[in-house]
Amino acid sequence: MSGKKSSEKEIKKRSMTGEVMSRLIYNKGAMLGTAILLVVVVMCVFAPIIAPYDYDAQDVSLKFLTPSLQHLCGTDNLGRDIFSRLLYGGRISLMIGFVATAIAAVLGIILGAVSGYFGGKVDSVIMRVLDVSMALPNLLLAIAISAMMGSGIRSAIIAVGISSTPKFARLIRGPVLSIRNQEFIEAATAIDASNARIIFRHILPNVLSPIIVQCTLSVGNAIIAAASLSFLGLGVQPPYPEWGAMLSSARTYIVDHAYMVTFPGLAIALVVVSVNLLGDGLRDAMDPRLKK
Amino acid sequence: MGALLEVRNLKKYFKVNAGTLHAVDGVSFQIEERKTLGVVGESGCGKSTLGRVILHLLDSTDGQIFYRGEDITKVDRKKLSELRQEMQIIFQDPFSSLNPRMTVYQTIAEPMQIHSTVSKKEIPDRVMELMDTVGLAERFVNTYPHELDGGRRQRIGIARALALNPKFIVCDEPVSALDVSIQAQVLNLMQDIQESMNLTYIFITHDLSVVKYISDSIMVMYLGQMVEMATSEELFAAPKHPYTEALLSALPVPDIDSPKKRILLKGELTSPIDPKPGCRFAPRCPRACKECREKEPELREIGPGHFVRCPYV
Repeated sequence: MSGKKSSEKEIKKRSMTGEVMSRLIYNKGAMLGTAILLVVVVMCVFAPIIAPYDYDAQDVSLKFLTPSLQHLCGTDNLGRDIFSRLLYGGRISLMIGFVATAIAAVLGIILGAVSGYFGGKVDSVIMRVLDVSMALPNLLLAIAISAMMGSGIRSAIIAVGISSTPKFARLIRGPVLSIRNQEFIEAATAIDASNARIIFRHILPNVLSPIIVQCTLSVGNAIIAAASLSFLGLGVQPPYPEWGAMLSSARTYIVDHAYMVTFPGLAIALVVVSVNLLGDGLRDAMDPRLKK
Repeated sequence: MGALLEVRNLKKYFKVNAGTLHAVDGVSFQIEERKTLGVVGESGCGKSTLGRVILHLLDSTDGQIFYRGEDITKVDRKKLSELRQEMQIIFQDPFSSLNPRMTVYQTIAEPMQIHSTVSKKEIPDRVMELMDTVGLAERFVNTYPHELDGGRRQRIGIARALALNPKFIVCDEPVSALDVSIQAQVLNLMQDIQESMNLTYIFITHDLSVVKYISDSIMVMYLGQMVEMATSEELFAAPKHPYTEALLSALPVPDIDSPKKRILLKGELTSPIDPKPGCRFAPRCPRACKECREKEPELREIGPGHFVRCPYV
């Protein structure tokens, strides 16, 4: 009987990442998103090598130049090369977008899962606190947080992360509530699985879809929110460029020099779209039920 | 008399907006090792709650539970963990009782990973052994539940329950969600396992033909109370309580000549929320008198092991 021997080989411990990756590769949208994102990230990381000019190299005689071969995206009101500034700025904007979203996702998932799973008083307390923080405009909350911690990139990231946490928590709580009442959770209790195990192994894998969608949307929002902060002098400080800040400082010249807002705006849009594409693909790839 | 499990006057009340819901109201019984107790009753009579309270999936309101003579009504974490290796549950719905994101292997292996009853290296072999026991082909080991049919899914649930070598299993309507042909297969499987693993079952169901087939003794529940308990043969041959009589008369008889007299119960199930004093069955009972409606009848033993809650027997 070869059953015993072959059994060990047969149980390929279906590794989550391996399987998801192999499915993701066949998703054209997700691959396009990944490609765009990869190009943007690489260009930003190697900004000092790629950028033709320094990000704060001013030459007022060259101000408001329309895009040309010398200045791919034109120059701004101080004669700085917009393309170079976009590359340098991308480093900050992408970091804010991804790190703030990660903070919001981790905090939000924990709060939402705990709230939905334990219910009762824990749920009421967490949800009321979040309700209060949602009643405040997001930006106001972020301003308060970064005012407390001082200006700078780090405080901007934390401020944006914390202010978008309630959305995640609210979003997760609903599906957690419906899943905790299913029999397989009771079955897990009956085999004496710990609360942490039930939350992380049984509940969270089943609420992945809304989490991923919210994450992809949140990246774009975080970039914009960080821009508002720096516009108020609380986030990234000039002259260091940042996409959102470039966008908002350029809007004064939107009528005469539209290209000044176009390129930072395009950069943000490009990142948001590619993250969304990737997120959609990930969501589908992670659901074993959608597998063909 | 070595009862494996004894339940004395067990109660489970739920607080709901309208009052207190008496889901299980003073149920007592014993099960001997390697026997099967069938629990029948219509939906909402507290059968599933009873099973869950015994397994500590729900806390009891009052009463006592003894396992091998030991009081397990209130236990600490450590003891509970030990108990959960001995007592398991098989669920009704083979769709919602399995995590859709876990493969057959992961589901069956999980109890062993939690309790470390076998070493890590042995788990794959043990999973294969369990799959063999419940009649699941090896090739399904990496499939997800949604890729399998109801009968196979239910076998996964059974394998998960057996993974820790339990002694006692609550079967909560394990076949009522399955096709009739598959019901028979799963029932046979459960009986085979009972014999080979020396299991004791509480078999909760609303299907009388199923309970007759598998049980040694049968308990009939009505609105949280036990109304009659007897051995399987005796209950089917000579039901005493009017509710049991009505239930049994509803069983189809495969004989066209047999004159069929069905006892039709009037009215609806009364509410289990803050029940009125008196016999719970009185509003629907053909024999009910004034006294029945005022005083709750006692449970009486009218023969060896035959209990009835009705004063007219």
